[in-house]
Amino acid sequence: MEEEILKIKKEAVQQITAATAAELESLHIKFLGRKSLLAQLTARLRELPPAQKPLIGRLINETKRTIEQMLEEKSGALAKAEGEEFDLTLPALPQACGSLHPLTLVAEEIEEVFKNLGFVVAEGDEIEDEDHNFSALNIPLEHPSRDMFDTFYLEEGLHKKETQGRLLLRSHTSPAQIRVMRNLRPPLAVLVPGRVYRPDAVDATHSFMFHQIEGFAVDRDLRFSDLKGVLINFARKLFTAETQLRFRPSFFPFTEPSAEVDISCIICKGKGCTVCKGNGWLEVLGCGMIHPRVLQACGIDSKKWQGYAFGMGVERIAMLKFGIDDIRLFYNNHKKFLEQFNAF
Amino acid sequence: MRFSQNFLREFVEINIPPAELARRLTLAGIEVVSLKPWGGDWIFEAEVTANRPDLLSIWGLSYEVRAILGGKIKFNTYPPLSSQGSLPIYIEEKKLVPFYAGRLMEGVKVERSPLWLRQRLASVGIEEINNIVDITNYCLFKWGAPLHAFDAAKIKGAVHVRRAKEGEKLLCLDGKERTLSSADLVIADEGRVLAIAGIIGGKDSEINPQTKKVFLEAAVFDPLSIRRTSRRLGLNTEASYRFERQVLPFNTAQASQEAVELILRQGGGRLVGTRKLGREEGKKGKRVTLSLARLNRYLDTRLKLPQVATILKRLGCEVRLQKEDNLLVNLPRHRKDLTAEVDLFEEVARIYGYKNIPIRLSFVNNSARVSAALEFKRRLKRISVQAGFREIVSFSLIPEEEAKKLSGYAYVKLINPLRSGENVLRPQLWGGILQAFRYNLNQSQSDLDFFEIANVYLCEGKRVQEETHYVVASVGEGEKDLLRFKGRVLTILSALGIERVEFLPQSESKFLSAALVKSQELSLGIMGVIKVGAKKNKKAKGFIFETSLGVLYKAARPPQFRPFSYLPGIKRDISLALKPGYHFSQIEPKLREVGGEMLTKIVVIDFYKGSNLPPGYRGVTLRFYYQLPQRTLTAAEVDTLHQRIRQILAESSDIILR
Repeated sequence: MEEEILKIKKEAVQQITAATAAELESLHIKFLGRKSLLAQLTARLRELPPAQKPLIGRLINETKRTIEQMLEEKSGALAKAEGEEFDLTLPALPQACGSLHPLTLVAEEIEEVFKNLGFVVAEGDEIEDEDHNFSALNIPLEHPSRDMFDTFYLEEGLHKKETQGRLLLRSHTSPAQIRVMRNLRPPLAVLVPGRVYRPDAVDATHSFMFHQIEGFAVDRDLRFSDLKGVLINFARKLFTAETQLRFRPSFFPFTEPSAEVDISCIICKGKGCTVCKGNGWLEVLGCGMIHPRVLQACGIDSKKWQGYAFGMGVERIAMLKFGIDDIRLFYNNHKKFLEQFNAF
Repeated sequence: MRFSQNFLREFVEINIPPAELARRLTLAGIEVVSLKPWGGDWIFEAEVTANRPDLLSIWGLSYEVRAILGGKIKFNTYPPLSSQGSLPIYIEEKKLVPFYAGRLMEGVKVERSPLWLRQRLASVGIEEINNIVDITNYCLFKWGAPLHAFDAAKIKGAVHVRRAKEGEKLLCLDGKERTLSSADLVIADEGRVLAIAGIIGGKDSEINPQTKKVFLEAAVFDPLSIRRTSRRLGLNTEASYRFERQVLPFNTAQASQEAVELILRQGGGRLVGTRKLGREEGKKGKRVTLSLARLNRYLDTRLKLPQVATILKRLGCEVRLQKEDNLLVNLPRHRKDLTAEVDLFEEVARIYGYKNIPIRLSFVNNSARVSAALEFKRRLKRISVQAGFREIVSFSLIPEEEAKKLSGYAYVKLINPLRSGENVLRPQLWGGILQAFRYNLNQSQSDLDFFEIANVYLCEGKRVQEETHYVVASVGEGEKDLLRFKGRVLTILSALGIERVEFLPQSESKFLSAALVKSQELSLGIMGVIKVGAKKNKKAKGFIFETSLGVLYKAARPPQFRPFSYLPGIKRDISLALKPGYHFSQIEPKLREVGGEMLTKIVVIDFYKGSNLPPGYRGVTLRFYYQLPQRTLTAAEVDTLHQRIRQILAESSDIILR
């Protein structure tokens, strides 16, 4: 039987070597098909003495594998010969794809960091009234502390479902904080992303429309240390694990104590460069413990509940993260800008 | 606020280098934005927050530096002012002028200031004028209280503090004439206005080389009144800046006394009268109880009573120990920003140092729930990206002409726009996409496929509403490009589980062609074709589909498995041409009716134009797919059905079969 097998193999080698592309399929059937000689020999294995069975069985299998391989190689060689060749080194054909706006990428990344701590995302209207944008946030209507919140007003006489005071375009996302706190009971941990508006002339770092993300939490025992904790966690997740934070006392009417937060410059690592104007720090957000008067204005007992709040400009963070030097790029929507953010 | 180290050092001990002082001030909340050497001195430029008018003076800064460094303060203070002699002064608006001190000096000599005074003013960036004016400016910076010196010879009769008469005019110190309104507070004599109270003096009564008699005004004016006038006139001065933020009678009286002393010393002469109206506040301010336990709980610190007491004392508070670790704190009169216990928490925290407060990170408790609508928005963005569209962000504010031109809706207008180019809140999104198309085409970009999710703002009568919209759009030229876009929109809708979408032709004046997009009786939105109007590509058209996010959310269904057939289907093609103005939707229902269950799909596979078609006819090749889920179809039965479909098409006078 061994001889028969070797004979088949020899025959196969001869015929496959000489075969054309059209003949390959029939050769496959002839040597490896159900009715092939090798198949017949396999069937006859039963008749052999037990001592020979494994040896011959192995020989048949090896021969099958060899023939299979030869057929495959021959088919590849024939294809190449017929010009079916692939040049991977030719330049690529362009492939279109979609993309998310870099502001969405950054906002969602920020949201993820806080979601992982238990925060949920909410949104508020952009048309607001004076009560939600100012009064409830402890910002007196006519006071120098209003100067940092210059605001667009809507035409007189218009109203929303329930309006307290004149209608305006929100100058920060904080009115949504008031709405959430008035609608839901603590404990709360909410993130509010959205568009905000201020009458600033447009230049490389200013725009009359930009995006903010506001976050706040209210519970029985939230402390200044918790505020520091969530923000350090945020900065290290969003930038690098080595990022240092500096909390500077500041003033916001709706928080007490208030702070501005600087991160160690991500360009020069705090050594001083043009981006951080040489001082090693970059201002990225404002924060503080929610002022008891704001909690009270929302019907939350400030003797029982404490909370913190923070807010940041999404454009600012995106500019730092991606190294973008002109805020106008975000709103021009140049394709060469958008296609740099294909990853999502 | 600009100040110099030497000026400050006169009144408070400083035992660290200037750069270190700048750093310490910054970390205590007075951000030093620049520090520069100046002669033998150092000039600090600090940003003072709106709640701290006390820091707009060397006096207030000294308390702050003492709180940070712990040195000594050396301030000579004068006893309270009292009236002497008779000076006729009438305050007609007592509510707006809580304190007013007028003082008259005679025999004064106006000349150049001595060197030390000129240096002090130069260090804070104030131009020297003459000894009298320089002294008032010096006292302004030292005490934070603006003073004004008049040439008393120009004052006719009594001094009146009153509201201006509508249209009254004043030639101001800066040489500009200003017209006043009846809301403005002014200083006047019997006949005319001499100065705009708290903002700027008049040219005529200014101190000049011939002045011998000086009337020195030291007053406190109502912050709101000053703010309104200053804003209306667009005039911001060192004086108005401080009055807006509140000036205190105590500092005002101190400044007045020091100014008189300096004037008499520098310029000779004698004080002939003082008239004080209103009261100086007492030394002690409001009282607040501070609980050490609450403080440590708020900040998460382990501060001890003596530490807290020391910080508060250095800030100028008087502190008394009460039972159970409570401190009774008498707030200093110059810190009107402190009113409650939590304000003291901040004071302690910032002097103790924010960096010394511990850090704690834990999972938060929350009664707020994840919003399904927001999750939907996220999903829609991803589906749009997957369909090959790029997200853009365009402005919500548009020019009014565009709102008029592009939309039939009532729109919302701003009363104080920056420019007329941005004075209306947009009632639809696609205008923004069109603009992005124009910009990109003019920048020689091609293959433009954009989407945006943002709010639109509508007006119903006087009621304003906003809702979130979704717009998706492509640039193309012909019907082929449009149908490819339509296919991608259908892919997006189907990814949301929105099936059986119909397109009903609609005539909309702003679109070349448009259709109402419906799914199962629900109107989703409008799909339209519009000229982009780009200079570099005149043929370019925008294909737009805009809908409300709320409507999509309502129509969307979660993915659901439907068994599919493994049996092979059969396809047959028909080439035809449609008459201009004829819509395929006019015949499609008939084809579907005849095709029944067997006709599973009709797609366009080719377009053609040619001279063999009558003018305006659009040639397309349609592919019809036939299949049954339960059995394999025979060629004969498909041929019979397909022949009937051909027949229907052939019978239409608006269709030419090829």
